[in-house]
Amino acid sequence: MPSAPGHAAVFAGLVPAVLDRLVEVRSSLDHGFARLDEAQARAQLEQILSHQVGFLTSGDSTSLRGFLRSYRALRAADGLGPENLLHAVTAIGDVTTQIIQRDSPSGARTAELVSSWVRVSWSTARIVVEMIAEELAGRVAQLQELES
Amino acid sequence: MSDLADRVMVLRDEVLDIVERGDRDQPGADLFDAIVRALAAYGETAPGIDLTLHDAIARRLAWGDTEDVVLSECGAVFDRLATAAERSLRDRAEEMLVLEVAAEVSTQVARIVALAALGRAQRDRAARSREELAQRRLRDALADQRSTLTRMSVPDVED
Amino acid sequence: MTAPSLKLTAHGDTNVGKVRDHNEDALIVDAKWGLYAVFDGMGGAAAGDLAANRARDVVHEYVRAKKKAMEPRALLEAALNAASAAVHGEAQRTRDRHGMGTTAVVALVIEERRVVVAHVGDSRAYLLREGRLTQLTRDHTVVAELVANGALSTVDAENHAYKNVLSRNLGARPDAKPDVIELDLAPGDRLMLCSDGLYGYASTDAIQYLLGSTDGPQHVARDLIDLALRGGGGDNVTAIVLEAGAQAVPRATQVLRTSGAIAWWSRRAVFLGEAKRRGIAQSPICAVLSADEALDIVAGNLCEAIFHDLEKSTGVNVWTFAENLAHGWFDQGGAWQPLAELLDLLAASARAVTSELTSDDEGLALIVDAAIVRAFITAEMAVGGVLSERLRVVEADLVRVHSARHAAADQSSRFAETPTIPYVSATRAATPDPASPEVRAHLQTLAQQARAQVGQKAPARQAVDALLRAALEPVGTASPALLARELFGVRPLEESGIAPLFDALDIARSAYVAAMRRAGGDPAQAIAVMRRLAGAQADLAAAIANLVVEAATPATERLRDAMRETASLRSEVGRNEAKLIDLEKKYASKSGGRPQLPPRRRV
Repeated sequence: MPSAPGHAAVFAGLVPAVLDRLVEVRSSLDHGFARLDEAQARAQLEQILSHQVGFLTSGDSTSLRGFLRSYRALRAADGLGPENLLHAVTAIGDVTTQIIQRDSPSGARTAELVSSWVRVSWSTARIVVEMIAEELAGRVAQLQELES
Repeated sequence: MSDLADRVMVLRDEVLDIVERGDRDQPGADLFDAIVRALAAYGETAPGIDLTLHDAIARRLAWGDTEDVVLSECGAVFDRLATAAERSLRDRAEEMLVLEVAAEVSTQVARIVALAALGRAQRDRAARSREELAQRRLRDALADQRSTLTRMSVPDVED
Repeated sequence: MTAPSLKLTAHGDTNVGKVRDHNEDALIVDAKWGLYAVFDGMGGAAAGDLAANRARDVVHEYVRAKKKAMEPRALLEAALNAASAAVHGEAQRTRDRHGMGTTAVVALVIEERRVVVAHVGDSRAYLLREGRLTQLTRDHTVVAELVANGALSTVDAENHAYKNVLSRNLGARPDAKPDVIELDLAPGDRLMLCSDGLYGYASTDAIQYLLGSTDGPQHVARDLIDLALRGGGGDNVTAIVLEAGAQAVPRATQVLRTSGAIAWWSRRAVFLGEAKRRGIAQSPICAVLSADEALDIVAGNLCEAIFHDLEKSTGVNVWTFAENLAHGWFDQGGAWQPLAELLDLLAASARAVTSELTSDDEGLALIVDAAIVRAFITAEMAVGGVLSERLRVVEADLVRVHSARHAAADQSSRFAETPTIPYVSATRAATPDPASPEVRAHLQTLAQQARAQVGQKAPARQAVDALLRAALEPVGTASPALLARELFGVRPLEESGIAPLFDALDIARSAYVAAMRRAGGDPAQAIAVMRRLAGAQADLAAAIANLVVEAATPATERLRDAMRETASLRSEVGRNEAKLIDLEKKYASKSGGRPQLPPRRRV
């Protein structure tokens, strides 16, 4: 589990540029973001990034996990399938990596920051996959109960 | 038979009672065109569902027109066509044929609309079931949130 | 100062697919005129490819003739309108071409960087820029337009009965009403035009990976077709890839493609050794394999997949590996946890490679490490995709079971006692009211003959009687509704219950008409009878349809109630999230920026 407070401070400085870029390319992130206006997209993206930075800082994924569970439920109520959230968090991770590489001086420090960040992105993806797996197990049990 | 179809086609503006509708087709145009097609083909082929008419009605229902609007337009077109045919067709046998074909096509419209309503009910039930699944997720998320809020709002509570 | 010129390279490919027996797609790849287009014909029999080819020829000729004289947007609009008129005209000429049409997506390069894209229908244009894929066109299908307006969710759209119904295409009308956009290409951009046979059978991620690879447009176009065929190939598939010069490749990416890929491959023994040491053979997923097979087939294939993806800056190989692994394991009834543990084992084994690389070249090791982690994110996405697909199937089954229960509940109170929807047209000037005694008598006689013709077959026999009663009643009474209820009886509210009623009306009417022809007699009386019968049939048919609409109404009302409940729960979840954010900030500020939160208990 990544825990890199030094990186978190550097990353916090990059967040405005990351957000601007994410808002700019939101139509390519996934269906859910494509439908939002700029203010709504920015608000949601800021929440996701804020929880990921918190995870990067503390190394504790509990808050990120709880947020993603609520966020997934809200998106599902909008009719968005589970893989959409997975695509969205991965795309957010990729765009953020590009901004880090673009706006930071080249060298080992930036490479370390990228390395920390992709691990956050990976953990986030894993949390979402775990949620999908849990949901699948729950629905299978529900279906078996109904059909028996 | 296509000669009769051509003469009925001339009645189009009168039967459709043309009004400005912007980008949308005139109400009842699909039905009228289907009647003309059926007249042109009368006796040549076995009767069956007119796919063009089916798609046109499907498109309108998908766009949000209600079934009863489609049915009432059908009734209005039928009535205006019967009036126009009585006035403009001298041959009673031709007028009878137009009425027969119009009745057959009106029945097709009713069939298409009825089956579409059935389809809509099935889709709405499925959508309701999906809403209930979404509600379950939301209730799970709410339970998680309430539990966390309770803990976070009481600073000295230990785990 | 003008931007440096871009070298444009394009290639298109098309395939009939695995199910259809002929190809109704057509394409234009004309670098000389800067014209690229995909057409997807429809209309069955030979009409679809006729429509597509005709539209292709008209657009091609029009652009060649007028490109120098017309402004580009107007040129494409006019070309597509001309094509629509041509296809429409062809469709009117013979009955078996009625309804034929085609989609079109056209790109016209007007200066070296500027492209105009016009489309009608659901063939699409995509842009890949800096690794991100964006759909440039919005489908002209009824459901896509409803989703765009917020009237329909994407999930409901996928299940919609009319999801393939186009709202616009070439040939339905003499004019086309295309949507037109303009864009400036940047170095490294790839523009793709395709028919629905591609995106309908290939995931967006896979398309993005293939388009983003270092292979040239010719290979990419072919690979995209292969991807759609592997996904089922249920339709004709066509793709054109237009590449705008070479992008300035980030240094890290250049390093990965060369040194990084080589460094990984040259240390594969380290990866395999670590995987063996960590016990890959003991994973439940490898239970049916020998220890060597586990290493070779699972770890070895992943190692190779990572190497190829590093070389080509793509993710398609790791994606395919993970997807196959997930499918194979879940098809056997395996659970997700062992698969996650296996991926963690392989990731830890990969870290051994980058640890060793660090001692030789720390800078390269960091770049490779990030790329490897990204590869495992790709693996997570592939696994997540497989799980999501299975979740969709189970949820569809749940929906089916729930819906059946809802249907049973709805049908316990089907029809309102009185009709709630007006169904009888108030005007019927052509028909006198009431029927004269002569007409009444004639109708009764015809009815006897019609009954004899249809025999005892219900509901045709009942329809004969119903038509008689409806024809005799004065216009504007409620009788068609009551007659429709009697006719409907206790039929199931399904197609098998409803369709025979409409058939019966047609049979009954035909029997009446046959009886009239045999009887001959006074033409004035005959026409009076026909007006009544035809009107009666139209009224009865509409009344039956209205019964079904009434029966469908409770389902819609209950859906609206459910949607309101969902909206209320959503609002509450949203409010709670806002409260949680405020509390987390409060904790963070108290602990000097590092949140020390009481852990959330998982539900």
